[in-house]
Amino acid sequence: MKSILTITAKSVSRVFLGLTFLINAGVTHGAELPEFSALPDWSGTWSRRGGTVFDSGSWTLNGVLTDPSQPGAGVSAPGTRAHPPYNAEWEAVYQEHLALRDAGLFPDPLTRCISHGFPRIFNALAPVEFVVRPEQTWILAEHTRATMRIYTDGTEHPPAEARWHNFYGHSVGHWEDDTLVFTTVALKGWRDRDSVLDRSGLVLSDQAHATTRIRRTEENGEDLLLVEITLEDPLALTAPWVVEKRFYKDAAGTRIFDYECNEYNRAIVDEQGRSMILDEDGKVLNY
Amino acid sequence: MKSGFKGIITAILLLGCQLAAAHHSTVGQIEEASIEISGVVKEFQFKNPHSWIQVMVKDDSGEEVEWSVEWLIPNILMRQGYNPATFRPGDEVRVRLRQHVSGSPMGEFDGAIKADGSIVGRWD
Repeated sequence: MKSILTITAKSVSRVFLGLTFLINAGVTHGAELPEFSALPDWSGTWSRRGGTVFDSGSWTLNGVLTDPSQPGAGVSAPGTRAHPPYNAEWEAVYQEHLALRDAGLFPDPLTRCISHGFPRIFNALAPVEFVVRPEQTWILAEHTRATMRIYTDGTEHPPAEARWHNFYGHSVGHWEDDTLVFTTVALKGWRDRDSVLDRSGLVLSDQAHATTRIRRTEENGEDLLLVEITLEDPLALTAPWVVEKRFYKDAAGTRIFDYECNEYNRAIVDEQGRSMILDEDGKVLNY
Repeated sequence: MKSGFKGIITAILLLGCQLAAAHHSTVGQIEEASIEISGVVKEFQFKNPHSWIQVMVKDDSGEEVEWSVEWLIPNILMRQGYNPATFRPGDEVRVRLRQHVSGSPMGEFDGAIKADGSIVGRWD
């Protein structure tokens, strides 16, 4: 009798845990998965061109506006605004961040070794890899050792009240021929002041969500992964904001290496947001 | 990492200064023009988030000064063909860098030329 009760208790516990998992991780319905052989070949490593910011017009060097066509500038989809269509409240936040950045007082979370998050993973400095499987696609970024998972197995987003807002959010998608289409919700946004879209200080709220389309194409004989992201944010934006990032296939044999940001970090940010550089003995070198 | 380095980080955190580990925000901190130093490599710190070349340089009074020269993240350097042995302790080098505006013995690496004439980085 005791053993039956124990087994029953364990079973109930497992069912409860399973239900809890489904609520928190998203529910999977029996989607018809594509054949592995039908999926596009996105193997190899891919490097972004076009700068590490979304809003090319924002990029300055030491406060001086640079030519958007130069390295460091961003790329926006044709016919769309480079500048996010902020409402007045969030435009003011953005302008404040730009001013702080130009004064060297906007500590980029990345400089504190905090991972990119989404959509900033598409602004990453170093190459990325795409692992395409019928049930999931993984985006692996070398810089900050980031992994983003996109479920294509019929998983649905968790209900709003059960979402855990984090740096990469929760992404589910499907294939439209050779295009991966996915939506992302449950992002942190600027709620904890540690997740930005790029180094300019561009931020969105935790209510931001996105629809992303990725497909492989060619440009001037080069293999290209075209990433188009439509960002919507009922708190911060007055209209959908479409941005585009381009990843070109690296030469065969290009390797991804380990990246541990905290391995030997000689810089710290003080309470004013200044970066202090330490020497071997811990003495501040630059202030 | 020397104990002194660890020590100051610990001390700063304990003081509650709300400091956080960070790497390179150099907006407005680096001179545009390069300078050149000559010395001997003490250590090549081929580590993330950025590599550092420590160079011992004699100043005008003959005193040795340790320069900290910041370079790219090791991952990028590996793909460019560099590795932890690119600089070895004891290598005699001339280094071009853009110095920090404070005048401290630190800056950002442009290039170097070794005693054997080999060039690292940019040496136009």
